[in-house]
Amino acid sequence: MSAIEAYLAELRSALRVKGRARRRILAECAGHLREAASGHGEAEAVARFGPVDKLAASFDAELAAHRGQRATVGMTLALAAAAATVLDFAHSGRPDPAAPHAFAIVFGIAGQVAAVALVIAVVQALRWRGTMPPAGALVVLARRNRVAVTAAALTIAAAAGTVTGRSLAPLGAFGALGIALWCARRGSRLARALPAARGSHVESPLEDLAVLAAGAPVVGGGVEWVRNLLDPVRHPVRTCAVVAVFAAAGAFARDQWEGAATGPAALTAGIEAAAVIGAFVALGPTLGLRTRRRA
Amino acid sequence: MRPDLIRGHLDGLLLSILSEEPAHGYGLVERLTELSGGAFALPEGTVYPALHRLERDGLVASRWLAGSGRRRRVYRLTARGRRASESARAEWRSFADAMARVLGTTA
Repeated sequence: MSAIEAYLAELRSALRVKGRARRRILAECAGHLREAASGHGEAEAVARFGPVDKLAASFDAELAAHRGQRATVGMTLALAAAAATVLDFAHSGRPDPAAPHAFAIVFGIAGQVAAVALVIAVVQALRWRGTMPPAGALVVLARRNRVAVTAAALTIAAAAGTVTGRSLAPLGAFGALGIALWCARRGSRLARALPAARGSHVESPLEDLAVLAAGAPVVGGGVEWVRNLLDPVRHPVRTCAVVAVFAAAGAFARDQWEGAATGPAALTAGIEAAAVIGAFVALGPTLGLRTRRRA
Repeated sequence: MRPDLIRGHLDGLLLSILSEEPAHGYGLVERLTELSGGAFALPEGTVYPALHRLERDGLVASRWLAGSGRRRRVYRLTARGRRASESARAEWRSFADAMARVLGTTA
């Protein structure tokens, strides 16, 4: 086996990229090596081309970045369609009196988790658009997309179990969810194969926002001010506590506005606060908001 | 010159060379070496992930062309790539001027 054939065989083995992209990479590299070999010899051409493992990792990371960002866009559109369908169904249908209260709680909490995961994924994808993010950021984006889709699925299932009515809306919502799931899986497959996938990574949503707002001094200054006070990566306990308080206050105010008594409204507020804290503890590392504490 | 110094500017360098005329990967590497007087000695394979990213971002377009008994993927700038190349040049001039003022050297 010649030096070029051995190199290409090693590259073929190291690449995680599949399909047409893989064939193109191998064809271009082969063409380059043969052209270089005609001037410098095969051994020199291979040496100049660079180490196989690093080159394969670059190709994998580049495609993972592209797919991750495209997946976030596709997912956002699909989940927005699903959300519109679910809300329309929830308003046009009737609450099922026999439905367990847990369904309503799951609907509320999972819906908020889906919304938060999706928003921070979109902000992250916008921040890295047109540039090559580090491998850790690719892994975090893939995880955020997966959490958003999973939480959206729970939300839709809870809605279907809570509301009765004759409507094709649940089918439409599940169809849109299927598209979102396909986007998330396609976007995460390569990212999960990267060596960085096994580690713990953080990606501050406020830092992403600060980078996006860098061209607007007033907005950028505001984001930095908030970030100095409340950043889940820099100040996890403080941020979690403040968000829990605000979420509880919002839930209390909403229930009071809808005519609920103080007691039930306070209970809802308590559940909301517990959900925020629980979600931050349980999902914070997965969403890249805090590092995983080692035992 | 340390490869890590060049890596962050590789996109701008490739766009600049392609602004002269379309080229395939090997031709780009040769032109880069020629223009830099051999100072930029990156592993040659690293141009391809960069070219693929530029293509996905719409700054370059490519197609297979046959010539000299070989099949090569030839890259050319798009209109958007041309604007990006000009922007990268302006940004670099501004950066180089500022560095020269701080380091006390003439550009």
